[in-house]
Amino acid sequence: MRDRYPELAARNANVAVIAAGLPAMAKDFQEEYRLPFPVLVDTPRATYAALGLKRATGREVLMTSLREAVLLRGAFKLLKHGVGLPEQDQSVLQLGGALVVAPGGKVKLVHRAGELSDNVPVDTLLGALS
Amino acid sequence: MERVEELGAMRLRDADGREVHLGDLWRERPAVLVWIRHYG
Repeated sequence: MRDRYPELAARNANVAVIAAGLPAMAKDFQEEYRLPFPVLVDTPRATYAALGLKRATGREVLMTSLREAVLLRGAFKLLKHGVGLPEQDQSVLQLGGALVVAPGGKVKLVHRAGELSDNVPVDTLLGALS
Repeated sequence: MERVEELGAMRLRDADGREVHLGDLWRERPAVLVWIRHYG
């Protein structure tokens, strides 16, 4: 999404990513990936619940992690940030989603991931802005 | 949509600690919000 941010910005859209976890992690994430839009911290995941985003099963997470070798990256992150993450911050079971809203509040698109790799294509976001 | 009204009333903080009222994001412009599973 970062690489196609200019296309979203050209449609005059406010763009933001929402994530759980600690504010310092959001800061690192934003800087590491040089994101040109804000990362908002939702530590209790209240917005995830409000949008009705789903949670994966432990088996799904394990199988996807093994397939995509994300366990190693996760271990690196833990080493970098320490092991003292409060339980209520991040959840490996939490799935993502997306929302496109027109000025004034009319919903143009809601995407609730059905599985870990279910990410909404940027073309779909752009289409919802048209 | 009821959930958007609920979301619009919520306030989050950005990575620098500034408070963001979600409803402000789509008050005058379209908004694209993406919820991610985790960092990285």
